[in-house]
Amino acid sequence: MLEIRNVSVIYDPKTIFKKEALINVSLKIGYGELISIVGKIGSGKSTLIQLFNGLIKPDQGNVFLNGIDINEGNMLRKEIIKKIGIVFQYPEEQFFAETVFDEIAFGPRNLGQNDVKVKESVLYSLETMGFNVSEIIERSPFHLSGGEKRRIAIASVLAMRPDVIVLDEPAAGMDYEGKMSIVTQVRKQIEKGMTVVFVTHDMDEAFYLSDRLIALDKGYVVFDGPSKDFFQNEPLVNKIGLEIPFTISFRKKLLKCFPDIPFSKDIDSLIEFLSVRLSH
Amino acid sequence: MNRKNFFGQYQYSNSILHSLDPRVKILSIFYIIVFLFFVKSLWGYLILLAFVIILVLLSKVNFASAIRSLKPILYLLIFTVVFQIFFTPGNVVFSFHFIKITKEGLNLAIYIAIRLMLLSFFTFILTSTTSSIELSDGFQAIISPLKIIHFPSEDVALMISISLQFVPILFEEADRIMKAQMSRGADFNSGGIVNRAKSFLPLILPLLLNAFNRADQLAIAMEARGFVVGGKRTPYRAMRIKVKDCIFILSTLAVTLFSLFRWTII
Repeated sequence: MLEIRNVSVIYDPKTIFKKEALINVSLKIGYGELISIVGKIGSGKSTLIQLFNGLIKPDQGNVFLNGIDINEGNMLRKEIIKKIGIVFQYPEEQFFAETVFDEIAFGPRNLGQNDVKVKESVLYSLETMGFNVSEIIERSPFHLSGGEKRRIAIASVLAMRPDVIVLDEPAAGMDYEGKMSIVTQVRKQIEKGMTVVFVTHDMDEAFYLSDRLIALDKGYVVFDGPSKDFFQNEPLVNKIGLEIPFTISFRKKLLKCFPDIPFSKDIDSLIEFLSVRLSH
Repeated sequence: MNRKNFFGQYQYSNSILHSLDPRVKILSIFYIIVFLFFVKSLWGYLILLAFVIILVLLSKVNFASAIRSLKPILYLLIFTVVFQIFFTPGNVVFSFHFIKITKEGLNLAIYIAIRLMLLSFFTFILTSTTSSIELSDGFQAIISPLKIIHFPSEDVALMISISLQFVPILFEEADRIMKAQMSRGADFNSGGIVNRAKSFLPLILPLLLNAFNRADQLAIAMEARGFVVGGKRTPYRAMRIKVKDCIFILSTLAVTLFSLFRWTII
């Protein structure tokens, strides 16, 4: 569905501020995938996701959406954003409307939906993000809690019903409860078959949520494959300055005493295994 | 891909112009800008134009960015030139129905256009070779004698310094918000004037709100570190006039006087 082919992005070429943000990157994203994009600060993650919906144009290479080059001018901008929704970091800082309804309706209205369809989209996205619609719809988005604001911001992109939703650090700066609430809602989207792309610094989040992982280092894609394989390759994880998820390091320590401990993404299942074993 | 540079953004380099004392640069450029309004001959303007080109070359800043610095004043330039050409009375050199172009109008339009361009170029030289910290230090040193008449020079300099440092942050934030709203289908580039103005609301409002929040946080952080309005402060970066600063002052004076000198002869 989405293909990045031999893409390079260089900021400020021919100046002393020249920065090669992405170098010869190629990848494909299909329907219903659950992907994490990881890497250190400055590795090119944010640049990569901005290519997805044509917010920036590559200096080299092409970006194809359903086989059509999105930078060739034949594709309408609305067509692109209808398919690829991006939720940027701290999205609540982009609020401007008086009510939650208007804030969420901004996207669908820009897509040219009529009033009935707009209302339907707003209600759908609020319900999807786990809100009590009648309670929240007329409230000011500025007066909500941090977690609610973040979920409203995600709902405002979901309301456009994109095929792919890209979440740039969706739980950044949030407490555990807020983080889990976002994670739960996002998992629901995955169950509905939507393609979800996470950009994250949190390796526990990346491991727990995604099936496929794309690791970037200094503008290069250094890994693209199952997240389990990535985190089992400790030298690579350390080389690019990332951390091993707690579940994996915990299991590794337990392996000495329990060689048959199963591989799991979920810490609860490891604890359950332990409790069964210890009770015997 | 070039990131957007706004007018006169500081461009890092190790040129001689970058290493000049900021007080010297501020006062010299201010002097030249005031002087521009006293030059009334094409010869004088050409000398100043040559001077500014030499300065751009010496500063090692991107020459194209110096030309681009004219962009923000382009409409003002066109409007002023057109206004002078068509509405200055004098000896008519061309007429078509009610349109009359006079010799005096053409002369004035050329002079004003060159004057505005020079003004923009000299300001560009100052802002592209002087960092915001140097600018505020220099400005503070220049206005510090006003303390005698109880003018809060340090506070004013601090306000200017903070404002200058916030400019690139606000630009980055505007870019970030713009991209986020574009991802929700906002269109900032098409439609009539009214629609365009309306389309900027989702950009301006969050930008202002974030700026106020940031200002609040900054005030709290400053107070938490013991900042008091009107407190006595000592400078960390000591400024000293060196030989190269004197050479710059002398060349500025020489160039301006030379252009004036020729004007009185012609």
